[in-house]
Amino acid sequence: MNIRFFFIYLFGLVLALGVLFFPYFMFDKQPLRDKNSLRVMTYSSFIQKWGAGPEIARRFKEETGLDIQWINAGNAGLLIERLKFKRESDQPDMVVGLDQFSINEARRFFEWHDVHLINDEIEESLLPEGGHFFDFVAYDWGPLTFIYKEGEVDPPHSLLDLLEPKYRDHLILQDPRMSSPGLQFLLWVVVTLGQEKAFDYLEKLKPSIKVMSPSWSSSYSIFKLQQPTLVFSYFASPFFHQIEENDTSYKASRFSEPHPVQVEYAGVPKFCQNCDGAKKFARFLLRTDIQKILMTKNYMFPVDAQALVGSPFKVPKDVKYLKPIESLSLIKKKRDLVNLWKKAFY
Amino acid sequence: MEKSFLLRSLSFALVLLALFFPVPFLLAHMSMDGPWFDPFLGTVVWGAFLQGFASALISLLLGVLGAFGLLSLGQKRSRRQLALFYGMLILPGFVPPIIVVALVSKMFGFLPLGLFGVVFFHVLMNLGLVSVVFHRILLKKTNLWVRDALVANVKKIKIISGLMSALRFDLAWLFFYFFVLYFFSFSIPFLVGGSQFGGVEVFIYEKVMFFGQWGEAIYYSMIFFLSMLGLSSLLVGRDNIDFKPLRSNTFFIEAVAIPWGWVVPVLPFFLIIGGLVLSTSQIPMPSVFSALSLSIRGSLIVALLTGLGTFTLLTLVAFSFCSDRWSRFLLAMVHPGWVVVGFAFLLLGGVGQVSDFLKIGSALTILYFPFLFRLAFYENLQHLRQQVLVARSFPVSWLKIFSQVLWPQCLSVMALLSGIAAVWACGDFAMTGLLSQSTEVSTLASDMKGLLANYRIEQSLLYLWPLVVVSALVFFLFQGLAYVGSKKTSS
Repeated sequence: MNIRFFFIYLFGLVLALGVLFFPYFMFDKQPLRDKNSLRVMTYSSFIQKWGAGPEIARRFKEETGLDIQWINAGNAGLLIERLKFKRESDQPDMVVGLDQFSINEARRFFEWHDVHLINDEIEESLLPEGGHFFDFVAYDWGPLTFIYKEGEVDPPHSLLDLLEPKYRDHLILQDPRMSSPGLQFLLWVVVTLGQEKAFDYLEKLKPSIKVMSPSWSSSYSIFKLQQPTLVFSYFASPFFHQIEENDTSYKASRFSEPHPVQVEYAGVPKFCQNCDGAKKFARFLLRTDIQKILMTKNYMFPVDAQALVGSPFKVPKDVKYLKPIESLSLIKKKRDLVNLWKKAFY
Repeated sequence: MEKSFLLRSLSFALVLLALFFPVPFLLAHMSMDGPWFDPFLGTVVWGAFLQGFASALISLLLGVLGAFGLLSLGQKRSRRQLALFYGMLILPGFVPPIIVVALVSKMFGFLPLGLFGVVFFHVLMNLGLVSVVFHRILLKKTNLWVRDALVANVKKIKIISGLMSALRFDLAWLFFYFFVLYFFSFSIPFLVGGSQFGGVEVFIYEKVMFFGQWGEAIYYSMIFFLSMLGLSSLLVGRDNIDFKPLRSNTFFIEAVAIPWGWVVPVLPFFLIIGGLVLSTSQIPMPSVFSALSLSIRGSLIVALLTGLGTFTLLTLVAFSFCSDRWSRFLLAMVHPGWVVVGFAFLLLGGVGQVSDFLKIGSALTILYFPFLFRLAFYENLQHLRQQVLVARSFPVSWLKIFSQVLWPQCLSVMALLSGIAAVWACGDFAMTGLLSQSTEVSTLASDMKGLLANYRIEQSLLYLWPLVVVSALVFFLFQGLAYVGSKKTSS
């Protein structure tokens, strides 16, 4: 046993770790609480290299001098839980990425500045009715439906169509306990068919379901790798394939029933320290050029109609939407609904 | 009281503190409200039991076949070739589950789901590991036994069935190890299990993620922890396991090799490579690769921290050389749940990249330690119990016993287990996603997850190549610890 060699090697490993760590030690951005910085908490894909965050932050700094310090909350569904865990000194000035379901929780645990009127400053708003509520700024939105590849699957036109034998083992859905689109689908069925019929419907739908995925990302991955299938996703999803892959075969199916709508919100909590900066950023998110960035990075529809000009994005016409605010009363009963869902699927 | 006893107790207490702090820490910080009984608990546990049992049984059956196949490769291959082959076999177990699921379904053109899907992917990912572990058991323990049987002219099939009987406790132990691994498996049940076979970790996760009920989450994680503890103490009787190795060359054992058997555990490797080639052959290098160096650095840091953390915990356990009862306690232990550990570290506070990395490395160490201890370290310590007993009858200090007896004989296993922890850490995206609050903290695996969340499925598959290289690098870096440590003895 050569202790000397061992310790030299171990020291080498620790040194290597130190070298790898060095840039972080040197340039570790400590969250300075000054007038020139704004701390924004959001989900990870928003601030990753290919997300909308970095470009928006760069432009915001250029114009206002305010340096955005992103706080990564990981999964969008964990934003509120993460907020609960933050110490007072670490709290963000703003939260970006809440949806209509998490807003309820957000209001239950924290107080928020009322910034929703910023939405009214848009000349021509695309936000569907009932998407504009409470104290938050809606910055993008997306109706949900089943996405399919043209020529491989006949598109369904109603919820009842999905029960047909031709869709047997074809549907990729998300687990409502883990995924916001999954919860949207459950609420869509409940709102459309009524609570009693909804669970009979879900029982009947079981043979059509290929996979109940835990997240939108894994469900979409399975969809891309497993054709022919239909995945519950956003109306804007086909634009990704059109723009990034030059593939126009991905389509969004149009249902006779009103489609559920996912709206993304930004909020300014009362405990913010740079509240003015946060409100400035909320307004900045709705500027046409920033709306364009959000649209092409998030693949969601903008709230400002001007952002669509010159882009291949088109908001579907002749499609009815469920009012996002309608789901709020249902979400209060989410434990009961999910237990019924479990009864159907366990 | 003896000074060394105090030091040993202190090091063991440190290990326990590291492993258990998340639960009381969360209990102290969170409001413990909410319902305390979920009517679906029984269904979830039954589903997890069923998939765990079936996965462990099939892994063991196929893995044993593979191990007998590996025996045929022993004498014909150099150590390096054999190590490479071992690497190929165990690789599927270290690739992030989402990638395995995607690649294999791409290869087959269908996605196995439900109970079948969970069992299929569990077996696929761990078959190689079972084969390698059982192959090593065969080499270590049965060579002389086979020699005697050959001298007595016993038929091959009878020798094999005799070996199975002689190794029944090892088999039972392997079964239990993999059963626990599968029972608490998070990603595979999460991805393909559907509701009924979604697993107990998903059940706990749901309490936090969907209902925000921390009390319930911790309550259930404790129930599962105590049940496993009880189950393992039933299984591991005091004198159940024979850990006396028989060391000699491996000539005789090869007589019972099943020449084609090695094909079975190597299949998953080729399935994954095939899926990878199919998925990435037509994709141009994406622009996202420009920032690859940052993610490679992040992966290396997380892997090295986790490996070093595991090495430290194992050293503390070896130094404390706790009683048989405490060893069995560690053997039976499972981690308190992914989400409980993750949020406990979040509560610790601290902002900045350095703090994020340290928390990720520590959390992963806590999560992996119970599995790694069970995989090889317990057995290693048991081997040494007799030697330590003899050494203690002489008037020598504990430090001397540790440095002369324990340390040299534990080092190679510690290095191996730390290497495995480092490789697992390379594939982690869940804990990294939860604990990395800074945008600069990214790893290859978390980037893969990010790309998946951004429609970029094919690009995310490209990250698998650097991920494999980084994983291999950190694994061999930790094997170097054992190599340099044992240099003088072997020369």
